[in-house]
Amino acid sequence: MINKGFKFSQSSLTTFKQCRRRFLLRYLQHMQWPAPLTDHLSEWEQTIQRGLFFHQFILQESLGLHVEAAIHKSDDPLLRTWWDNWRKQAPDMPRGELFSETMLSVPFGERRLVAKLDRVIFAEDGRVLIFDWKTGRRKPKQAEYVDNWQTLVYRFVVVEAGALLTGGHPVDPANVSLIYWHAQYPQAIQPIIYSSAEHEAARNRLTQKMAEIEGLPDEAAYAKTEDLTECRRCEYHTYCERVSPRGEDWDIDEDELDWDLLPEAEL
Amino acid sequence: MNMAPEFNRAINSSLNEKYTYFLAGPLVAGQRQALIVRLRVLLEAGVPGYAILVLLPDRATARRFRQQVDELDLGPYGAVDLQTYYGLASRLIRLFWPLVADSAGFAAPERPPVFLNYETAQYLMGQLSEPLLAQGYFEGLSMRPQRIISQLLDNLNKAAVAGFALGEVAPRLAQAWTGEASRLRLYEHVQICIDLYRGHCLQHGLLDASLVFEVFNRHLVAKDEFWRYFTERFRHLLVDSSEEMVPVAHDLVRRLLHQSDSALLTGDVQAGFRIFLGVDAPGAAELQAECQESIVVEPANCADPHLTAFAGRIGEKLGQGRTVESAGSPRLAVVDLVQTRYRSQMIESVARQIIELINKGVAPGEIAIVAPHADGVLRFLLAETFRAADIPFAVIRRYETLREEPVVRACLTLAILAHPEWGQSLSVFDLAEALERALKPLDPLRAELVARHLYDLRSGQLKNASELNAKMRERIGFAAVERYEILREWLESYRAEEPGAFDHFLRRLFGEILSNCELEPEDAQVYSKLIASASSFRQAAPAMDLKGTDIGKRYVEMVLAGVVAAQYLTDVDLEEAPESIALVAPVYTYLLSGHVARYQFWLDIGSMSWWDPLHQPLTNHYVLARRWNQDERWTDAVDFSIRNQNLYRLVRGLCLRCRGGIYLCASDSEGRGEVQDGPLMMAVQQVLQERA
Repeated sequence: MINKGFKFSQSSLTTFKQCRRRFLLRYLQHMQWPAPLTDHLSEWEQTIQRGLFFHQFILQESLGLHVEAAIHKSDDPLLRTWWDNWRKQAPDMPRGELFSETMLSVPFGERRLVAKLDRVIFAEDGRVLIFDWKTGRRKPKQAEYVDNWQTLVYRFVVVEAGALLTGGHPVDPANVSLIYWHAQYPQAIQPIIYSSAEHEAARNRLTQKMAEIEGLPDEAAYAKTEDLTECRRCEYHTYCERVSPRGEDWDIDEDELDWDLLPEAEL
Repeated sequence: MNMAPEFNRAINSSLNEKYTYFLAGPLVAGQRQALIVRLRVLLEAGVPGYAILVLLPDRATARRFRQQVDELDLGPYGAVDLQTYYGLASRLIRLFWPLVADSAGFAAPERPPVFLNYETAQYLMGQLSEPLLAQGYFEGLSMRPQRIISQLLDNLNKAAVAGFALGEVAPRLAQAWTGEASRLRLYEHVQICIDLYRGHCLQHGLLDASLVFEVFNRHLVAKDEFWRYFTERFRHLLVDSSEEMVPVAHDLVRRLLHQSDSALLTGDVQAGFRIFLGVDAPGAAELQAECQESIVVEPANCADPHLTAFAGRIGEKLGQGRTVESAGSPRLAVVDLVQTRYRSQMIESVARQIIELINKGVAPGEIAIVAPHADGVLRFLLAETFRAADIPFAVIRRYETLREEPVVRACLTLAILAHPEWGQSLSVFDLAEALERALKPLDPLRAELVARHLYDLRSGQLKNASELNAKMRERIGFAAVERYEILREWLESYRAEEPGAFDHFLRRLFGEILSNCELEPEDAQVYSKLIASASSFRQAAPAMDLKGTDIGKRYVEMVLAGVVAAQYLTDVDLEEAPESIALVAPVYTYLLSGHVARYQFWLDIGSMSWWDPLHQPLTNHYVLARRWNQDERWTDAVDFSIRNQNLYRLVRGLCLRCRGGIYLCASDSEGRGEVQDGPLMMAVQQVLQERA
């Protein structure tokens, strides 16, 4: 079922946890199913766009570009507030080598595990700081972030592949921290540290999970979730004949945010 | 596809001595494989992925390339930028917008750019040129406005990819023109329209393809700050099929070539199929000359000798080049010449021959059918025959109009029903077609019954199903009537609401009515692209002076008028149906695919379409090329020679992508009854009549 070179990511692993059928449809069959996830489509669309702009402004600023004029002229007050938060409450950025919007990929048997990192800093004092900008609707809770696939995957991949960015110096897990910074709630999440023991535990968990997924024999084994609340947040709910009222607790999948997804001319 | 062993030297060359290689030869020599292996060498040596730029000719190739990279057994690596020139340019313009917007001439540089897809660009050009057309512009041209618009946009793109100023378009066309003087007036009109359009884009922060090329090439690349970033980041350069790239892309490669730690370029300087997009094969030859070392693999060393000989002889008949001594026999390249009286007979015969091949053990995936056009009759007849014989079959087409898709037509019909304020009328036929999809499962006959009995032509609204008599309700089927009522009530309730964005309407229509287990995933894919297209149109609407429900109305009118889709509607590609017989059209789509067939069937070889370019009186791909000598004139002799050159290029390309042999297929009269004696047929006959 799963091709050689298939790329596991925090998004796909999270999806598998939520619903195996959704994993099958989205990541193995690449099925496009543009059903709305909310009745508030304008708000949904604006949330995606605002997230993209915010990520882009941070990236532009890191390249030394002047973004203030664009933010000042923006007709989105929330985006201006977020930028104000960034100006006043951005996380500490130590001096060091900085990489933005970087994707790292590590082998896992015949598959790969990838992480799309908003920013990584290899600090002069030896610390390795992974930053992830959050722009979703929900107020983040520390406990949810400590124990999710994103935290596990990002720290694991940076330790395994970080040497590519350090000129060959291996990354010690004890030096790694992951900092989620939410544009709306800048103080909501504390840095999440890492250790060698956690790194080995992560490897085991990933190995087991991938073996579990790869061991599924056929499409039928990718069962629909029993938790119908997940269907409310899933574009495939009609495909799966799980027609349920669309929920109000929708959010965007920030790992999937990409300007490249916008329709443009084919040349 | 095997890789020529000569390429190994380039693959394993130094990583940091600024050595530049060019691998030349036909695609079957394995240059793409060489690039993938070189990429592997770079990544295994610890070069960070972000420091490698891979430039590819089109998105389909980029997708295939990525798949192959994903399958490499590699240790950790950083993701590599696999980009088309256009993709790279648009991404970097977005990123460096604050640096470049002002100097590129945008009126409000602090506003984010709005990228126009091809559909929206067509609409905008249509809007801006409409008053001029009403004043008599382009009078005397018997051509649909849509065709005029696409040629106007072509002119903008040609100037941008060749890197000359927009103001030079009409003077260049006029200078080369040798026909009636009335054409010169048309060129003046062209210039006024494209200047108006460009001005509007700059005023409103819109970037169509031509402005993406121009802003990137002329403004961004010229900025020291940008160039420093670009060259510090991309230290290794890999370029695939450089002959399929436009001159400004060659300029970028040339400049980067001398600053990279390593560069490996590939190309077949005798190819370069997408001339209509402004690609420049001789430019690839110039890049080859700039590389420190060139490794050339001749067709004779990597392709079938008989097919190579056949291509050479056809080329000779077309006045292209000299005969190259070959070990092969042209006649042995042709497995069969299928010639029938009627086209339908030709199609039947092709299907029969293919079934015979499969019965002899040839895998369907080893057979390709190429045609200048894959019209409905051809697709239908082949699909029916292969379906009956249980043989997998895939149709791969490019550049379709959105309205050709039944899913799209159905959605637009339902949209018209939902928006009576648009004042657009529907035919019973349109409605029946839409109902067949919206009320699945419903056969065409019953769909027509519903449309005939429950559509009020006067009001343009659906009637309550209670108006059906018992007999008719039974004929249509109770379940279908029930589904009809759900649709009718949904439309009624939508009309009662405050109107929202049109693409949101489409999304809701999909989610609440159309998307059920009866819907084919392929249809959902088309639907997704329709929504994306409508959404993109809405993003640009303020700049086109459109608001409210007018946006949807204008979008629907645009699609129904036959606008060409910005994206491929279905992503089916040769590698996605590896076990299917592939019908590919137009021919260059096959040539770009990288597919090598054991057997190729060339259809309609008597058709002038193999030789005739589209009738485009308002533009000229050659005159607007950078390479055009401005002292030269566009005479019949030049036109004739270029047509032959292009036909030979296609024939050579096809022959170099075939291992076993070709079936040449023709009918005495095409579907429209025209005699089939085009130059390809004439050349083929001459070659086959020669003594062995």
